[in-house]
Amino acid sequence: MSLTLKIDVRPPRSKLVIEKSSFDDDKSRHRKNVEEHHFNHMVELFIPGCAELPPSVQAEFDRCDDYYLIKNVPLTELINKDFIENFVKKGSLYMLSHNTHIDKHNAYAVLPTGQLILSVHKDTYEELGLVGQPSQFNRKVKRKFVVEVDLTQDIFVPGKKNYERVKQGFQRTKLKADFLLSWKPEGTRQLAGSILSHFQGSYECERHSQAQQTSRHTDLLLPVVHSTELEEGEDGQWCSAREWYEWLGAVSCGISCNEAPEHYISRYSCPDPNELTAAAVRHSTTGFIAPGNVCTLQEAVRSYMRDNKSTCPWAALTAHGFVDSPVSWARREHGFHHGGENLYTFLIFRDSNYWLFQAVGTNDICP
Amino acid sequence: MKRIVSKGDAPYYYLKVLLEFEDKTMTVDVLTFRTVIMKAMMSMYGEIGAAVPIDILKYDVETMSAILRVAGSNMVKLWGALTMLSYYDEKPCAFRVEQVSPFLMALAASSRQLLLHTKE
Amino acid sequence: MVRFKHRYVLAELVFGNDLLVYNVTQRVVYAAVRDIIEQLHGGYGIGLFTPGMSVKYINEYTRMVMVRCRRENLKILASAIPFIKHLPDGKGGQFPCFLRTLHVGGSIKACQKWLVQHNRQVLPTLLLRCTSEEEKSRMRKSIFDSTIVKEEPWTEGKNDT
Repeated sequence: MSLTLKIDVRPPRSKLVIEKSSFDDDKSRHRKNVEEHHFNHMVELFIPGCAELPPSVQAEFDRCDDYYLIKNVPLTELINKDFIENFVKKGSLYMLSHNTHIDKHNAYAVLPTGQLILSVHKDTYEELGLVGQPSQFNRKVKRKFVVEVDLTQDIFVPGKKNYERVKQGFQRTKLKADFLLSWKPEGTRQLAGSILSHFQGSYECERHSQAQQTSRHTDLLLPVVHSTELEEGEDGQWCSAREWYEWLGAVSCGISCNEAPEHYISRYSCPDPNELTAAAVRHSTTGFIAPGNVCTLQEAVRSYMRDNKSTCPWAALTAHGFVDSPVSWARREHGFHHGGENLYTFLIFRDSNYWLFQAVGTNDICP
Repeated sequence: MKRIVSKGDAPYYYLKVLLEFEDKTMTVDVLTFRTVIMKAMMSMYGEIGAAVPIDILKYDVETMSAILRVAGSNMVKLWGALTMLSYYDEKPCAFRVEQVSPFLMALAASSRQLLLHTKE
Repeated sequence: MVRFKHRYVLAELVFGNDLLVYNVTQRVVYAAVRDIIEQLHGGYGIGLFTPGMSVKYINEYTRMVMVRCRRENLKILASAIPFIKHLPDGKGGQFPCFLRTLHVGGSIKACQKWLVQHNRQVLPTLLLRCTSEEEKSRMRKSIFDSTIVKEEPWTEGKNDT
């Protein structure tokens, strides 16, 4: 209607939650946060003051489970009775559709709590015939729908109405995708590899191990932070949490911020006040990492920091989520919009305090 | 236990961009790269647009890819200006914006580039 | 009712030597304003600005210029006008000048009312600058004519003006 050219120059919204707590606090949610973030693409650990990764921590990295890529799996396979009985109900199963962009294609995920989450287009949703909710983002134009199927329900068995309806829906729409899969059996009776034998007969399977990478820094400037103060110090004695987080992002991207280059190029440098450290190590593992591994890693780093022999002022553990996953934390819906970020960072101090940064994008519910 | 939630506009936005020339053999150094960005902003938003502070945090000469930092209020302008640039110094070129995020940490990983190598 | 709302900026052209009358047309001023918007705000500025922008009134003798723009773009226009440093004269050269913004109004009528009042105040100043007696008497006569309102003789059936 209006012919005036008016560009809305406001940037998309973003949310950053900074929490300060202690590991010894009963109400601390450090475990819950890690366990509920189901799909992790990359886990990175940064320890300043160390030239090499401590052996206990390196061992945890090496112990990260392998994952599988299963190609062209139809969704009817996921509601197979044997599959549900042997794998979904017995252990933690993580499945995420591979190479499906959540803003363009249909995306599927199986959570360890037994839910099958489908994020589908309107046409697919109507053809599927199952009950779901329109996507929380962009409610006016209902383009995407989210369907949740609880696989662990007692009534979800062949022969019952609910099951048959879901099965018919999947058969009618012939939905299939490549899946990234990680399964941790509970107890030690079953082998983790038995899930591979389930799929190997009919589908192409690949086994992958997490790709690890180490980089070492020398003579790095570190911002000074105070474990109990999130805001900037009044006399400039320590940096604010947000400035520190930007700096850690710069280090993770491989940006050297020791001294500011000429003003024409960049005006960014390490936030003041800062101290020089002789060495720092940054180790990352990329792939499809189960939260269980991240938990044990967190514990290993925590015990290392508590150890009196270590000289590091703090350690930072970051986990990046998948940008195309239909959920971010627990069952909160996640969308891509411009970035699809859903990541968190633990800043672990020597005195058992920690800071937790949770960053999500526009199409995300605040964790 | 303290919790700070900051919603709304982020102070800075970070863009991961790639400059592509039609002539594949051409490369530019970081100063020229900055000038290309400045020219893009100048043609779209004039002198006032060209004066917007943009930081090149990281630049790789071989791939001509960079990580830029810009204030949140100028992000839309920068992205639009980079998209509209088609010539520099009479040579056809284009900017490819690979990743945009209000968090620099998010640019360290992109699950869309997960390359899976088959293992024997 | 939906309509486009405008703002009318009344500006005075100030030249180095104000006794000479330059050949300044509406087209010349329009081109100058458009060029300065392009220089300062680029393609976006031109696209934002051009619809609704025009030079409504120009008086070479009193050197008044009235430029119209859309209500949303007033800030852009008002901040860009001081950057105009010269105007082309008809013979290919450029003469230096600047535009001094005097008044911003919501309608042409409001601007005109203000302009009349402004001119009434400026006339006595001009009287002080008159050099010859004949000029002074002419000035006094114009001041008298403009400040005194003549009473119209009442006639039946006359339309209200």
